Amino acid sequence: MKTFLVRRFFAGILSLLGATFLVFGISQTTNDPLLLYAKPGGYGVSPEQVQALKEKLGIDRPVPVQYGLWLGRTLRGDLGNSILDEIPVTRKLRDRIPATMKLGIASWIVATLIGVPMGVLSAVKRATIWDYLGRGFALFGQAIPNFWLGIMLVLVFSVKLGWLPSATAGDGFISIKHMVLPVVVLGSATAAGYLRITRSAMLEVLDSEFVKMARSKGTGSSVVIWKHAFRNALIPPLTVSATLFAAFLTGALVIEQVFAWPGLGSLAVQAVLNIDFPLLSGITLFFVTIWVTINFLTDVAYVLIDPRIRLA
Amino acid sequence: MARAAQQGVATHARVAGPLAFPGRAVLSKLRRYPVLPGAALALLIISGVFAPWVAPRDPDEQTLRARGAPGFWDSQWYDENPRIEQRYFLGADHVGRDVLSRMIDGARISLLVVAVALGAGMTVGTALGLLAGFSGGIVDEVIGRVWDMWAAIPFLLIALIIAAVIGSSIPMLMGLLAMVSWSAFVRVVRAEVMSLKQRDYISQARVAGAGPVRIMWKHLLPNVISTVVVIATLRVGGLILAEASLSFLGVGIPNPQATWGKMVAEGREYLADAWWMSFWPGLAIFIVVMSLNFMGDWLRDRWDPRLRQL
Repeated sequence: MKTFLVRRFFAGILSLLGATFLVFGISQTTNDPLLLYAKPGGYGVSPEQVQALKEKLGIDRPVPVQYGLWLGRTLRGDLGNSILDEIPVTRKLRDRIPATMKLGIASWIVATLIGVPMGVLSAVKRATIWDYLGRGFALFGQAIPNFWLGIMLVLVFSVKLGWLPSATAGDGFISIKHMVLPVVVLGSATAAGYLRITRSAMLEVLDSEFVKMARSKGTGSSVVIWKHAFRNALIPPLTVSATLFAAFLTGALVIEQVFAWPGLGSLAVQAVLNIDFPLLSGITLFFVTIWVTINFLTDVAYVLIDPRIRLA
Repeated sequence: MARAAQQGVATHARVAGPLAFPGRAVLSKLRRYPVLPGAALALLIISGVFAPWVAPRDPDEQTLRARGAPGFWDSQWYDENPRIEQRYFLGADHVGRDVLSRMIDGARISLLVVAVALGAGMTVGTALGLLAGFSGGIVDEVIGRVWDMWAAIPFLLIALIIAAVIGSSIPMLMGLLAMVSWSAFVRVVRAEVMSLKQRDYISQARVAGAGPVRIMWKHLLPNVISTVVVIATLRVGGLILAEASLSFLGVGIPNPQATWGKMVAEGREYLADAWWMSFWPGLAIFIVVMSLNFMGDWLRDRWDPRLRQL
């Protein structure tokens, strides 16, 4: 088990390095960041100025060297300054993280509260109207393009009915009114994932010998479902949280764009469109760190919850 | 897993029992075969392949008089604007292009991109899975680590960066989507191959002098191909969504080519006046992805019920 976790840990570190190096390499393949300052053949920038700028930004050195320097600075907690406005990347990230976290936590709670009970219901009441409703919801949630769902909800609830605001996070720490639509959009896809997994896990457990045994000795049906079956069926939905979180992160990129949500997703899109590479590297580092951490925690949870799981 | 699938069939039969009305046979057929999703996909493929002949208008033709013209649901508008002779079935966009024709045109390009990406990803993923499962040892280890690393990278962000920095084009998009699709095949094919290679017929092939390439190509590949097809059908919906998301974020297929994701994004600005600009293309994505997921589930239950946990 230890070797398994150690291996996963190093795989995680490797992913982290790989992803940031990838972004780093790509950002440098073109000299575009320079063009943000100085368009050639238009603004009258002399070659000396270009050279000075290159030196200032440190992009006159080979990519691996730059990457090494960046890594060294990063380990000391300095992610450099954004090219666009010279604001430190760490500050930009710090400003944007809370909004994304709020959205993420709220969506995750909503998804869990909807997805897991509905999955149980749809497994227990198999082949009834509840099951069809649940499965229908799962199919919907996994097939619907989330940006489109967002836009359509804005159309109905903001444009036509005027009940909810269509964009931004609003004022104050938490503005429920502003959160409803993005949370519904992000939560529904995740809920669909939870539902599917909970349902199939429940079905499998309900079919097992110990549940039949519990039933046959006369245990009440709700005790069988919640105490015997549900507890054992919890493992797959718990351990799959990482994949669902992945879906959430990529969802945030798009959904924050739809709702002009002032989080990391919209910051990332801006950074991409401006080719602001210090900012991009910082955002990638943050996203991948979270991603890798959650993947690793999932692996740990796997081993802790169910030692029978083969350590592949 | 297989047992669960069989039970699924059994309960379906039981549910179909009490429905004693004339349409019963039709209903049970609908339940057993994915008729509606199949029809939707056939429609998509036909309109995609024959786009120029099927589309009612030129997808790029702008008619300023028809700016924001509504579709079939609003005949009053056409009464008030008698100079527009031919109706725009699903409405017209902000520069008077026909939404339906653009959707048909967009279907064509999306189909092409997704098909190439999936084909490439499928080939690479299956090959790596075969290699890892068959050779084991260091090769397996390396492929496994690369896979781990790949799985831990948030793809959409990376794709966004690559497309924005290098500039997006159709081959680029195909490449990016192929990079997402390959990983799904590796693990499953590898596991399958690992159990297959223990079988007697493989040892016999070896004894008969077959080399590793021949064994993989002639003896292992045909046995995993059904699994590969099932995974491909289950994955293609996700690829379409990924392509649409990239298009929506503005780094998909370059202008003026219409794609569904881009049409949804364009329509966003005119939501209050011309909801149909976003609504129809998005609905099309939704229906296509849902149909594909249906097909994938159906194929999986039929061909490879062991994959159920995916």
